[in-house]
Amino acid sequence: MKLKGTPEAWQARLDALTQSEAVKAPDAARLAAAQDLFAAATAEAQTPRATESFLGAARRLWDSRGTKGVPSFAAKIASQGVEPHRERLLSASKDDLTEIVDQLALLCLDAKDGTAPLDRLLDLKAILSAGQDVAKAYRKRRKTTPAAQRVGAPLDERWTEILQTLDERLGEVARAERLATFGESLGRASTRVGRWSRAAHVDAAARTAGSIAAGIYGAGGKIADLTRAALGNKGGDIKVPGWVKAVAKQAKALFDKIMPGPVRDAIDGLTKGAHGLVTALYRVEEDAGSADALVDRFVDGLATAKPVVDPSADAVAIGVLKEAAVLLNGARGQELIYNRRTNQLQLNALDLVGVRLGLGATVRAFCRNLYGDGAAIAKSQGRAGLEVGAFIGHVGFFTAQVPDLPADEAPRGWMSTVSLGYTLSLPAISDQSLFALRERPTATFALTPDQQARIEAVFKDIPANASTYTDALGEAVKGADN
Amino acid sequence: MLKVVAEQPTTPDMVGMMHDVACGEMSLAAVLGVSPEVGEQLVEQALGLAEAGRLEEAEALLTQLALVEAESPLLPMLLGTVRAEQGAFEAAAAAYDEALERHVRSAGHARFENEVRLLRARAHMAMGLREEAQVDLLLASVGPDAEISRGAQALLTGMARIDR
Repeated sequence: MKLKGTPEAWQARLDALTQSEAVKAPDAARLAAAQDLFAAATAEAQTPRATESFLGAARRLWDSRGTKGVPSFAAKIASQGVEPHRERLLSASKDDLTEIVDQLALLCLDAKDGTAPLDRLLDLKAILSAGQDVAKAYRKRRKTTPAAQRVGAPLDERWTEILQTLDERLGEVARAERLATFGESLGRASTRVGRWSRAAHVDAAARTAGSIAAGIYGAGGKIADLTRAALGNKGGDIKVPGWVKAVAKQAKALFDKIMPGPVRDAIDGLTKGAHGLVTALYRVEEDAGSADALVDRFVDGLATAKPVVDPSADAVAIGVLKEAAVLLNGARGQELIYNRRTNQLQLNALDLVGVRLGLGATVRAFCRNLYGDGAAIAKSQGRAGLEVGAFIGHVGFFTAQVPDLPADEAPRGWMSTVSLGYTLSLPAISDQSLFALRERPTATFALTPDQQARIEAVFKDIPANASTYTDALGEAVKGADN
Repeated sequence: MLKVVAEQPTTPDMVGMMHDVACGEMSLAAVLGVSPEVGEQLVEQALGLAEAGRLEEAEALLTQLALVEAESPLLPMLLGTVRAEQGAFEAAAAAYDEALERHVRSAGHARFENEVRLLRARAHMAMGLREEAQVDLLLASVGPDAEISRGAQALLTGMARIDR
């Protein structure tokens, strides 16, 4: 930047700077009085800048010109180009770079012909890897500088190019940072889960975490009810806050937007099935005294769950778990299990504890197929296993826990679960979870031939293509080595 | 240095260059062929002279450098500090004025402006120009640099206490 103005004005300024009389000391008495005042004031003001010697200030300011003397450095870049200063620019701190860019942007905006500094800025953009510094500084300056407002002229079109490029760059940097952070979190979480699962056997976890599950249930159950109500199912007498519905709608809209059509359709199908199960088993404990009512519910639920029912299974259960996850997840629910070998329908209360990283509340509808001795299935007091899955659907494999029966002889099974609700979780970690579930029978009925026939009729309606699937899973479960 | 230039036989090229310099289209340093590195060494020399107590020589050299580096706000500010050290506060204030003028023209950083304002306020105080000093101190006290702000506020407070 050169001095501008008329030659006369320039001459006047030079005169003011060099006039000999100005260098003379003023009247001695006046100076002495003023200096007394100055000394008194600085004695009162004991701060470094107020009492700093003049030469001390000169030295400090000159020595710091490398960092604080950015305006002149930026001016040099504008006049000489970026290349001669490449090394200094690349080793400059982020703050210094921001200031340099700030100054260059100012030079562009303030100068009538901003082409040269703009070229430098483009060069600078090309050599700096952290492009966001340039973009941020420019945007800030463009908003705040009076120079920009003064000039009022349209900016050079190349600004658009700068901003576009930098926006892209910024996006890349942000994405890379997010990925790195995510990867780091995932790594840490994975290590913790690994340690936890090795340290605590699933059975032990079920015993010790029973109270945890119950504690979580207090809050989680209510949240799950709210969630269910927000999703449009029977909300009962629970009043759902407006924000829950609003957030649910927003989340659904978001999922609709980001998920590909076929995936969305599949999830819609699963979700509808899960809703059917939830509806069929809603407050099922109230019907614990009526076999007919329980059969009605079971038939309704089984009809909904047909695609995941194996017609060759020895027993089939449908159930609902209300789950709250705060790192460790706990759930409580009910299931109706139809034992085809003993011809019984049983209502079980369930308590589940699982190793699944997550935060939130969900309602999980499930259907499980069991294979094994009918009497052993009837005596089952729980099950433990592993679930794998993605999105809202999970498939779990488990071994029933039967008193006095070794695990390798105990009934086995697989279950299909669909989650409804909102649990924030880490993909890949949360989708593989260990679980242990305790069953407490609350009602057991021996079915009449009529009731049995109604249930068996559903098995006959299972689509052939679906049963091929479920048969295969069943065979895999039965034939798997311990 | 200016004298050296003036004593050279004038040529049409030189007249043109002097015109460009006068109009601010060309830096005098460019005309004289003073490289930035040489300029920096000369400033170091001037500050060394001042620190050795040779204030007059330092003041003379900085005056010339401030003219040669016609775009730098830093040099007149350094000149002002040397003049203030000499007790020549009016001349120091003139140099600070020039530093501020250049700073505003080059749209420099606010931190630098507040440094100059604090120094100019001290020169004004030393000359007994309390109102002028107060204006600079008030402006410096609301600047972005915390240390300068504290210094300016302390001086304002000190002046107010003396008045009471």
